[in-house]
Amino acid sequence: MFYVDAKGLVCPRPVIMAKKALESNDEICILVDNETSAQNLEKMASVMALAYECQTKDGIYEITLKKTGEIHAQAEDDNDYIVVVSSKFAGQGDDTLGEALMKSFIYTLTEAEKLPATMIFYNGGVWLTTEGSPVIEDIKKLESAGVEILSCGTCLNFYGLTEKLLAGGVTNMYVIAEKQMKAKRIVRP
Amino acid sequence: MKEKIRLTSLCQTGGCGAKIPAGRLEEIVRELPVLHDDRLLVGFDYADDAGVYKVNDELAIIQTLDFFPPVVDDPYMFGQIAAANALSDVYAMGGTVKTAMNIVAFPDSLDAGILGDILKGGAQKVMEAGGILCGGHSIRDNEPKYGLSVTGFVHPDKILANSGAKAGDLLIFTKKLGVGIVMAAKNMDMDSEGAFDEAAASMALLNRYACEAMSAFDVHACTDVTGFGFMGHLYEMMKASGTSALIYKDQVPVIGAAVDYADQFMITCAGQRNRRHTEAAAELIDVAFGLQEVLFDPQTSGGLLISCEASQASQLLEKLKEKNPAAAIVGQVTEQTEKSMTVF
Repeated sequence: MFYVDAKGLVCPRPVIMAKKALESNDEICILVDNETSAQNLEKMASVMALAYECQTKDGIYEITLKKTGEIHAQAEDDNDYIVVVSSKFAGQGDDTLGEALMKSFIYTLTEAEKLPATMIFYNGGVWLTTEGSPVIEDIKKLESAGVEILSCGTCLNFYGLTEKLLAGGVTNMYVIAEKQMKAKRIVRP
Repeated sequence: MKEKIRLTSLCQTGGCGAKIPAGRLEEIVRELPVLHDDRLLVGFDYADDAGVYKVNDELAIIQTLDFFPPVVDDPYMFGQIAAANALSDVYAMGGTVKTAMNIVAFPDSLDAGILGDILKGGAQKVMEAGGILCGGHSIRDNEPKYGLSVTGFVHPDKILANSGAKAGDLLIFTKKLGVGIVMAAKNMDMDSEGAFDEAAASMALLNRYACEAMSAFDVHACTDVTGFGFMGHLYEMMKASGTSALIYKDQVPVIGAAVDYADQFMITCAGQRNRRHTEAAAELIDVAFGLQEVLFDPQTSGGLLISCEASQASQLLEKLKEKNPAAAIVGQVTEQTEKSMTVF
């Protein structure tokens, strides 16, 4: 193990020392004596996709950084997609059928090999992220699997559902528009 | 010939990065006795830039002080930057500078000529501000420090606090962000893109001109962006105003090299402390790591963040650009939402 002693130093120094050491080592251990430097090392680890481990003893942070060979894992995947839901019914036609199809659509997502990065709910779609939604359990399942769930704040307010949101966060039309503009692919039920 | 001393090597953290973290400061200030005086128009309450005390219906005085260890090695330039930074608080309140006093800490071991140069740089900026130096106080200290205590005037009805932003306003920022990161890179001898001169010139530029440009427009709130970084000062403004902000990440003026340096992990402790203080109130949507660091980077003598009536923003921007060519409309104010700040 390659050791770097950065005790008594403040950032950027410890981070730069760690970065230099990683140029010629796959795994290093770096010692720092302040929490902020430890946090900066953790940020670097997350950007560089390094494994980060930290042990604290007597005010000294002993941090192990290890290359994982997954540096490109964070790069955009060609399979990335987002899901946009603007109604509580899937498709147009009979509403009873539409509701059943929506249940089946959301369930299918939970079973998909590749989960969506984000699911956006606006207009009537917000009935699905709030109290009384027939698919709330599946949406929560998706959320806990790391899918970002966003509901339109204006829409929640319009339907009087603001206090009844059960999954994900609230967003606005700027974000909704931006996410769609930037998305590689958009899937709509 | 004076011995060439690296002033910045004499201290751990330079400039506004030397500030005590906001969260910690709030706790301490909360313990202070609160005294009331109807004439104190702006005090501790909303972490504003300076105190304002009403003398009569026509006149209020602005008081502020700021000092810090060297951010640059050149003593004259350090004096200019420290003074521009201290004077800035008066401009952030919409006032004019009247008098200033020097605040000095200086080691016995250093050549007195260095102190002379620092003071000359400061005096030049006070003069440029239209103010007059009227004294000061100095102590011995192993770490040099310099700054000013400044008094300014403002009409009591024309004070620009940080609490007046209104939903629908547009937000303008007048200087490029990233000077903290550039200084850190310079101190590590890693300013490979030579951004130092640009950063130093930006820090030495008085906010006087931006303040004068604002006076003809409906500006609802203003603050200067310093140690708590763009996000920290924006947060204070939104909190004090009871509003939220949408920031257009591609419109925020930044020193390009600062983003590159941050991408190479030239990241500071002060920046991380700022991130910790405001990240819970912020949503950053698809903001790349380097730009994130710049948004949290502590600024020394940073620009003015202005909340302006939307219909007048482009005219104000045009006027600002005469002296602050980097100025840009960076976002808008909205009704209060779950997050105080959304960057997208």
